[in-house]
Amino acid sequence: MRENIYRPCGSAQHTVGRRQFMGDFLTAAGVISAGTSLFSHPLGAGEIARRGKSVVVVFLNGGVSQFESWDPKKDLDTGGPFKAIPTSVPGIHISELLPNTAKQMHHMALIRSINSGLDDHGLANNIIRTGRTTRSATEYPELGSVVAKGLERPDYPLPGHIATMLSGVGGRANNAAYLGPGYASVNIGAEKGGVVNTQLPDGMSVTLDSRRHDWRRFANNRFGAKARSAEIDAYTQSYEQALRLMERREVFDISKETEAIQIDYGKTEFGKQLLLARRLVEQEVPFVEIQHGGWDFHHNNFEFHLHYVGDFDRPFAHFIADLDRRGLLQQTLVIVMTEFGRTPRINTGHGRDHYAKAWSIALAGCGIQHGAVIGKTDAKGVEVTHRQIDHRHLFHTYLRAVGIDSSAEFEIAGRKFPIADPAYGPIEELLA
Amino acid sequence: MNGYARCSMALAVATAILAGGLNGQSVVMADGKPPASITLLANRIDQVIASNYRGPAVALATDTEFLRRIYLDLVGRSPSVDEARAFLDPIESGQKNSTNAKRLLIDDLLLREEFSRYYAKVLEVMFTERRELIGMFELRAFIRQWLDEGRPLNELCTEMLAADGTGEEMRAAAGFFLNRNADVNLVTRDIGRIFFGRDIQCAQCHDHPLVPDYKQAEYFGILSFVQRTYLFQDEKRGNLQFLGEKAEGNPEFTSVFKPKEGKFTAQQLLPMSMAMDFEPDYAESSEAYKAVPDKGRRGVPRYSRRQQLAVLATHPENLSFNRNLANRLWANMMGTGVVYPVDMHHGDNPPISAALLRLLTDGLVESKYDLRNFLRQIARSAAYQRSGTAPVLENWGGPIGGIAAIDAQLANQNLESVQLEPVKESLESEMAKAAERLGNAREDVGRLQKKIDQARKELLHLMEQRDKDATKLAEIKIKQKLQQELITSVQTALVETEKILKLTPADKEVVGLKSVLVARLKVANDVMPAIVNETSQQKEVLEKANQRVEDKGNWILALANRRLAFNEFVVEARGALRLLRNQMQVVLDAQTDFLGQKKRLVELRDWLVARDKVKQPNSVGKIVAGKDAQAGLVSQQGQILESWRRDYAIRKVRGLTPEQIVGATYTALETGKATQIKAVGDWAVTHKSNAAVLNDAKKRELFINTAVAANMWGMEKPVVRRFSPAPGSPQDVFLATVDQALMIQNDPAFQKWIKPGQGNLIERLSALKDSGQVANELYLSVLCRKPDPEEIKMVMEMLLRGGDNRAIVVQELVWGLLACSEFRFSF
Repeated sequence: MRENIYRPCGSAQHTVGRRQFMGDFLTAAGVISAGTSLFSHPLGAGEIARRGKSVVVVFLNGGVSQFESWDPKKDLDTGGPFKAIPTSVPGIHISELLPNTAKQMHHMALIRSINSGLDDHGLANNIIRTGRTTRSATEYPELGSVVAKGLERPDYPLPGHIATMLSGVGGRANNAAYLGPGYASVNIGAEKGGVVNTQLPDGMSVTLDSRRHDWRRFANNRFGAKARSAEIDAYTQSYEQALRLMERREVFDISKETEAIQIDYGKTEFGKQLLLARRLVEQEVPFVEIQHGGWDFHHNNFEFHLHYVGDFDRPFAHFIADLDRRGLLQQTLVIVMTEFGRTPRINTGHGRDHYAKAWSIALAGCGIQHGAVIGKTDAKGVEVTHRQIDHRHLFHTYLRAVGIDSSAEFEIAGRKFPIADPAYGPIEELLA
Repeated sequence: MNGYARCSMALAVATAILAGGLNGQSVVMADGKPPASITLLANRIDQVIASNYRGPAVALATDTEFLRRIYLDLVGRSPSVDEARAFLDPIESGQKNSTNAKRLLIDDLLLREEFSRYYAKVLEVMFTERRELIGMFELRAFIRQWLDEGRPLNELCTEMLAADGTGEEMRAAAGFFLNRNADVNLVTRDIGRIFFGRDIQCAQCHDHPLVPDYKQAEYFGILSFVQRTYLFQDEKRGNLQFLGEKAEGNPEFTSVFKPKEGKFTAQQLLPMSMAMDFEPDYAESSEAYKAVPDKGRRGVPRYSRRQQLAVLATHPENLSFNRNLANRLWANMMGTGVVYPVDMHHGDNPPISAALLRLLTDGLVESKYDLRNFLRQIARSAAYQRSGTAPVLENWGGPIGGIAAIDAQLANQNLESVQLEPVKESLESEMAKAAERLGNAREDVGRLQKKIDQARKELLHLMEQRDKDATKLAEIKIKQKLQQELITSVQTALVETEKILKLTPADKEVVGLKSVLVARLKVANDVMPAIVNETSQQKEVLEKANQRVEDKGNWILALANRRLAFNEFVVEARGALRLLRNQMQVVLDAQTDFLGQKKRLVELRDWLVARDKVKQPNSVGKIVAGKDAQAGLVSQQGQILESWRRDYAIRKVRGLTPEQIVGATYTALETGKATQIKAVGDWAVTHKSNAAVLNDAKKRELFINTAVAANMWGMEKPVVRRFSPAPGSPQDVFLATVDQALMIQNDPAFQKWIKPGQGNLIERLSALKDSGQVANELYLSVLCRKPDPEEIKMVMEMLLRGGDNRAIVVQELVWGLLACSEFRFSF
């Protein structure tokens, strides 16, 4: 879809973006940059090795411009007004809108040669999230579900696939396809904390609650003497898991962090969600997704990117640095994802339209070669000139980076499903 | 019947095929048993299952276990306390014997309006897989009525594929397509899965990489039946959606793995060689439609591929359809299908017993797809009524004859399975020949069709030429006419000129004029014969052209008639191929069962050998087997028990479906009591002056059940949403997720349901003074059984500890049983 006229394209990305933008802009002014927190708890090497891996996706909903982020161009026609700046990795330059992130480049890698073909928001979202070329949103499980399944550990009390939002609570998305709702994303609010139904009902005391559970266990044991099966175990376990989850409600409550830490992350919507993500990574949650919406700038692309990338840059860089400081980055893959890039052509409204032929994403953390840049685009950023990559390679790569064999199959109730598109493989040279 | 006998039977069946005695559809009892129709299906099911089983005897379920099971499976809920007593008391007091009481209960439940109501949900979920809530109630009502009237299931399936959404009484049936937005690929896949039990999704882009049976041609075979169907939104009818269909379009496909092989044009083809080989040939595209599709008009073709599909897909001759439906219904009753997953019928995922699948399939077809009869037979079988408790293997002596007997059976089996090979090979070559014959016959028709198409083109060309010739003739005629007019005019002028010359002979100019006119007349007359000649020549040309057109038309007609004759050979070849394909299925089934039996024997043998080893005492009589060997034995033992469950020798303990959870909870809590009482009263008041309606038990039942169902929906909607797999995915998967447990623990709505009130269970139990009685009623209501002494003791202790807060403790007690595994599973 190409639009040159000065109007939003009618997608939800715009409306959400505008509201979020105004809110963020007002609060961002009050943020003070702070140094290393006194309350960081770096992990010992032994503890790191024992930890479960995590994936954090920062999804820039609507399609961030590669020119104003990971693949700046000098070309006057297409490059736009912003300069490229050097990063902590000699030879890698990114947009000057990312000065803080530039300092974290030695933890990161860039892929600049993505050609994913689809430039419709909905369809592009499907394929980038599922690593398959599909039209239906529910046909294949999304990355989060696959990771939650692939990194699943027995008796783990928290949901394995979490989507953070500001104030939403509970609710389960329909994004796990054949893996089943157990792997679908659970929405967890960064502000009020918690999952739906994790608080005891009105009038129920803790004593009463434990008494009714004892009685339930008594009944379970009576039945257990007659019948045993994996399904019965799974069912009785789900209650114990629920109880453990209730005990750990505080994990979701970022107000338990010191004021200083909260300020470090920035009290923006984005900062709060990153802080929640850090808390969840500490708890070894396999997959967390944070949304940063509204990137669909068909008009005033540069003005909006100035503010939006600015809103992204500092908290994100701080998040990476904080994970690193705490020893968590060695076990965590961070993906800055979006559904497609923006056109090299700048339209009459100073906007850029949808472009899926040559765009970029950034990775940080475990399982990848730090400081790597995969692929190239031409001087104008129109075509991929080297090492073309698409959503299917990316999907394999993410999984391999956290130690999931993407060429294997899941077996679900007797049916076999290839974990990732079997006709494709990972970007081997990017893997650590 | 022992394994040896059954193997002989498989071989006998397979051999009989070659002798031409069987059509591959019916079961032969080679061991001299009475013909199929005389022995009850229930007994035959048990015979087949027994022939696969070599373990110690497994008892039938207790009466209370059976009671809960049959209520859940036939009406989707547990029995009420009254219903439980009505069944159990007469057995206990010796008034009735258990076997008869069970039979009567099965028959009673099947005849209830509740049965149709519940099975409408089951079938609706099967068709839509909870894809959409829009139209769900209508579709359920449609199916419920269908079942209430006892109409055949295959015809219901026909309607699900055929309905286009028009016609008020059939609108709901279009839900299968409408719920999938008539998306061609989605509909194709789900017809494969839901009607034939074959998930051919991957075959969309290439032959299935994992499943050799699933070919790309099969995917496009189904697709070509539905590709012309599209979603039509009717502005004139409130933007309602209907199905329109086009009269043209043939899908072409290329394999992404073998792009060089080029494009194939798909043929309308279903599994097991069910196909449409030709369709009417309309010379004019306008003839192809009853209503030509347009922006404001729903396309209705004269020849509808979807209607053809609806018949072929659901016809009793369609073995894939029959097997799938029988297997799905069986799975609903037993927890797993003979083929499981139910949408994976293929060579690499063979039925657990092909003989059983064949038996069920034939039973369903013989019963004319009567749902009640079919389920009745299943419910009556010992397999259905068996206990879920696994037999104790520790002290079991092993099968009669021990390991030696198993070895003998294995040897025999290998021998027989080898004997099957030549049968299969010979059938394979027969099939190849038949396929070639079919191909040739289709080619003959295709060649003729090409000739017809070519002749049609030539005819068009000839008609064009004819028209040109006619035009030319007309032009020449006009020319001739004009020439004649010229001659006439000149002659007239000459006559007038001579008149003038008579009066003024010396006028030189007139003299000159006359000579000019004479000269002109001569010229005009001289030209005329050529023109006349030209006219007659052109007439001849036109006649010839007309003749050619007529000849070509006749030629086309002749060809079309010849094609008709050739069609007969296609029909015949198709039938022969289908017959062979069905026969081949018998051989494949026999082979499946050989392999299955071998696996069973080897598994049992290995375990017996391992057990002997572990038990082997050393020289001083001590058992010295290591921990690993012991653990290995336990795990082997677990596998054997699992296999026996899979073989239906031990009942599978299965999770309730979301609908059953709601039904059981709603009944246990007696939530509907108030609604029911009110409905009974309403009926009496409303119809008090009309005795005929007042006493119409059927109508009254419908009225009351509808009121209760509407009330139950308040619980059903949130619980089903939480407990069901994702819309559009298989719904027969057991799920136990944390959010479900959280819902039952803390959800305010759930808490409200277990508060006392409206004459519900909590209220009733709280009012009971005798704690022992509370225990009895509690267990009977929630778990449909009597508590044992320990359970009674526990309940009494809890009530005692609770003191005056009896209602609170009762809530706790009820909650605990609703949340316990015994409630969540059907045992």
